[in-house]
Formats: sequence, C-alpha cells, structure tokens
Amino acid sequence: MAEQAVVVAGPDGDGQLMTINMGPQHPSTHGVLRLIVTLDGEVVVRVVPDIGYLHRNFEKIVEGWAYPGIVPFSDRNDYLAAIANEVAVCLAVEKLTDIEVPPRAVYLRVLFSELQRILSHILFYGTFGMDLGAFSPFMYAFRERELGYTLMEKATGARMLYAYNRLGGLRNDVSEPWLRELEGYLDYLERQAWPEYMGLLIDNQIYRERTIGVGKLTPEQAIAWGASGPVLRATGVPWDVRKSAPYLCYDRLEFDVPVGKNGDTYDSAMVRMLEIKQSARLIRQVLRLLPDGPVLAKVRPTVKPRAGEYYSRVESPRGEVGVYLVSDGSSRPYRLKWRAPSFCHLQLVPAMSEGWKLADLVAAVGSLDVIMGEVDR
Amino acid sequence: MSDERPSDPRSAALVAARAAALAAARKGRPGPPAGRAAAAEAPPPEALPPDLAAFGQRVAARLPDLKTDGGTVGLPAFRVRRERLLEACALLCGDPEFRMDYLTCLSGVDYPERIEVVYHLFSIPHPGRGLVLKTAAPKAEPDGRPWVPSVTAVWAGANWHEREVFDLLGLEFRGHPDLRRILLPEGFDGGFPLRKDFVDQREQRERKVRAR
Repeated sequence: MAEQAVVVAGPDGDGQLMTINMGPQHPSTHGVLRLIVTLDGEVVVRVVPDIGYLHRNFEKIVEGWAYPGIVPFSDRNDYLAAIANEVAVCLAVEKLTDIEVPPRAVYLRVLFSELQRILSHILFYGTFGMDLGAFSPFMYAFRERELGYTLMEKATGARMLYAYNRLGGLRNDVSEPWLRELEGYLDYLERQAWPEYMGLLIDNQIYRERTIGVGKLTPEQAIAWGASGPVLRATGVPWDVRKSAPYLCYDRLEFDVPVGKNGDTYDSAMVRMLEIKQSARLIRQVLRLLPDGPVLAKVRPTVKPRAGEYYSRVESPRGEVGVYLVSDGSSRPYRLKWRAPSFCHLQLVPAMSEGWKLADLVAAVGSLDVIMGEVDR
Repeated sequence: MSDERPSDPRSAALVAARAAALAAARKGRPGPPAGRAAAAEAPPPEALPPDLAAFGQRVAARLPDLKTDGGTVGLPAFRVRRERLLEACALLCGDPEFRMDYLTCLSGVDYPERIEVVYHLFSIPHPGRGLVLKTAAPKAEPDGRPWVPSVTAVWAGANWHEREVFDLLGLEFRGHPDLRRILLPEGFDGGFPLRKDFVDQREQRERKVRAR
C-alpha cells in the first residue's frame, strides 16, 4: 500500500509521517491482525486494519458437508465461546428441519452459553489488562479460567472446542455432582474472584486514566456500523439479542442487560464485568428450573432440512453471531453465511483511534474483544 | 500470486481438468429454486407472527418496487431490482414509519445465472421488526463484471461486508468508497472462491489427493 509522505506540522514530533506495521504477529493485536498505522510522532493519523491471515474458507467448506458435521466445525470460528457458535448453527438447521429439542437440552444450552460468556469475559479482563501493561490480572484470570475449563471438560469432554451440541440437543447429559460443582464455582466467582478483579484492575487509577474517554463511540456510529454486544451496549444502546429476539428459553428467565453511558473503553470493559454477574444469575435460575428428561431428540442420521432460508441469531460474548442458511432441500447446505460480530467491530478501529496516541489504539482494539477466528473464518 | 516466470503449460491443463471434473460433479445440484418458483414449489412455510406479518404488509404497501419473496422462514422477505435498491434502502432506513437502521448481515449467494445479495435489516427503536431484502446481479454483463449499487451511504457498516462479497464472489458494488479484497491477499488472482464453479486459476502443480 503506497502511502504518500505528507509533511504536516503536528503537535507531536516534527510533522513527518511514518507508516508502520502492527502485526500480524504482535502481542497486542489479539491474534493475527495487521494494523497499518500512519503515525505523526505518537499520534495515530490513519489506521487501516488488514485481515485475512486466519481465513480458512469455512463458508465454502461447509457447502460440501452434511449438517451434523458442521456443528463441531463451527467451534473454530469463535473459539473462546465455542458453545455459542454451535447453538447458532443448531438453531438454524433445527428450524428448517422442524426438530423439536427436549426442554432439558434447551435449558442446558442456556447454561453452557452463559458459562462460556463468563469464561470469555474473564479472558477479556485478563488480556485487556495486559494490553494496558498490567500483567497480574492475566494470571488471576487464567486461574479462574482453568477451573472453568476443568468444569467444561468434566461435562463435555473437551476444554475449548467442545463438539457438545448436536442437532436435536446435546451429546450427553450432566450429572448432579457436576451441577453442584458448578454452583460452587459460581459462589467462588461472585464472592472472591470478582471483587479481586475489580480491586486489582478496574478500580486502579492508571487503568482509569488509560480507558476513561478513550476509544469513544457514539450510539449513532455504533448502530450505523453494525456493532453489537458489549461494544454497542457501552454506547448506551440497550440492545441484546437475548431480549430483542429471544431464543432458547431466555424469554422465561430474568436478567438485566448492563448498559454503558459514554461509549469509551472503560464502559466497554465495565459492561463485560457486570455481564459476568448477570450470567451467574442466569445460570442459578437454570439450575433451579432445570427440567428432567432426555437431552437429545431422535433425529435421522441424514439431516435434510426443507428448501428455504433462515437467519438464526445468538448473543455470543462478542455480540450477535448470525447464521444465514440457504437450504436446497438436500443433506448439504447450498450456502451458509457466518455473521461474525468481530468482523463488524474491526471496522470501527479507525473511528475510535484516529487522532489518539498509539497506546490508545491498543486500548481501543483490546476493548472491542475481537477474535480473529470469526473475523476471518 | 502473479510470478514473473512464464506459465507452465501443464498447470493450465490441470486447471482445465479440475474445472471439467467440477462441472460434471455439479450436474445433479442446480440449487434452490428462485423467487416466485420457490413460493410455488416449497411447502407452505409457517405463518409469521401477526405483528411481523402486519409490518411486512405495511412495507409492501409503501414500497411498490418490492416483490414478496418466498422461501424465507421467520422474517418478511422482499426482492427489489438493483436499479431501485438505493431508494428502497434509504426509505427503509430513514423513514420514521420503518426505522430499519440496523443492518446486521449482508451476504452474497451464487446462483447459476445471477449473484444475489441478501440484506438482513432490523430496527433498534423497534426490536420486534425484521426484514430480508434481496437484490440480484445477472452474471451476463456486456462489460464483464456483475454489479449492484453499494449501500454504504445508507448503512456505514455495509463497508466490509460488501468488500467480502466482492472478494469471494467477484460482485462489484458501485459507489463503494474502498472496494478491494479483504480476506484474500491483495494480489490474489486465482478467482472467486465462493462461486460454485470456482477452480483455482493460479499456477497449479500435480498433487496426490486421496479419493473420497
């Protein structure tokens, strides 16, 4: 990309512009993201995100695959909250195939989606702190994530990429001891870990100066650019797919949706911290209301949805994950489009950081909580 | 990507052979029926919830350029000709009666004679509303590339979605501020991977592939 060096007088340095590469291998760019940054001293004059380093052609590959195989494959898109991906695919295919999922599986899907939200937000807390130069929160976060991963492994057999959802429900049920252990984990999180997180980072003066007012977005910008999830809610828009277009059994559960005020990185992080508590609240309700019964409906081995199209949406920890499925009535999709929230959010990086310093750019990208797996697919 | 070496004649033969094999394999799958044909052939879809159906009727009444599209489950769906697309989008987004200000998904779909662009629209002030809008670009264009107008002037977030459709399907979005490849590398000259007849046009080598 040829960049004409335009010498302008700037507040920082001597006005000479310098174009540098951040990434694709860089500790602060959250995966293989390349940012082409034009700097005047330390002020970002222009930033252009360059993506595609993790493009694995997911959408083309699944055009030749039978539907049951697509569900575990979708784990790899947002690999930090894999259950959300599986649920999105399952909802789309089950809708077009008129599969009736047993109630216990519906509630357990909510349970696992919320547990994934907790684990993903804890990771966000750790990596966001690290982006800003705080290294201890990362270790604290991974201590809790290890406990969470152990729980997931006991229930599903895997730590990160689960292949747990099936068309028609879940692969296996969870045991009563596991549910008690999950409750103990939530108690520990709410009683001990969460106050530690707040004290260690969020209430820290340096953190507040690095994040308050940085990376601001207006609600109009966020809506126009298709932001969703915590990024949209940080600007003050109370939009959550679980409330606006309820799926699974979210319309029967009580929970609040944290909403920010200023649209800066501080609000973005705070929304996620509060969502951890709301997710714990949701899981406790599910534990109380969990019905008995099977977790997997009887489904034919060859899944043939009727010809038609459907767009399923779930609220993943990053925002709205959408699966637009075009079926031609056969056992393989005609087209499966994956709507990834991180893909939409990366477009916002120039608006959030042009005119700010390089360190603020790192904070802005970190606050978007992007995951390159779903950006590039 | 483009090398300075002269191209190997065996590579061209390989590409041609793969294209022929793909064409033969695709013979049995013409894809889903389109538009009116879909409405006629598909079994009657489940009815939309009453307020969503009423919203769909209001849209159809205000925008005569929109034709109802069959086959979509769960949301009212319309087709519009690409010449009327921008006008329809501006009305849907800006008009206080509709306020479809939230474009969540813009997808491209490859059909035998055309490339379709599908817009999934929702409304932040009115969470219960949703709409699917479709337009199509015929592949047979006198000057080469199929095109549709870009909607980035209406929804800024369409920017990268349109670039992705351009990158993977080769559909030009007229009026897009920065139309270039996004997922594939800048100089990628192998073709458009999401097209059904895609065969990698770059320099190929003989390789042993396990037969399925």
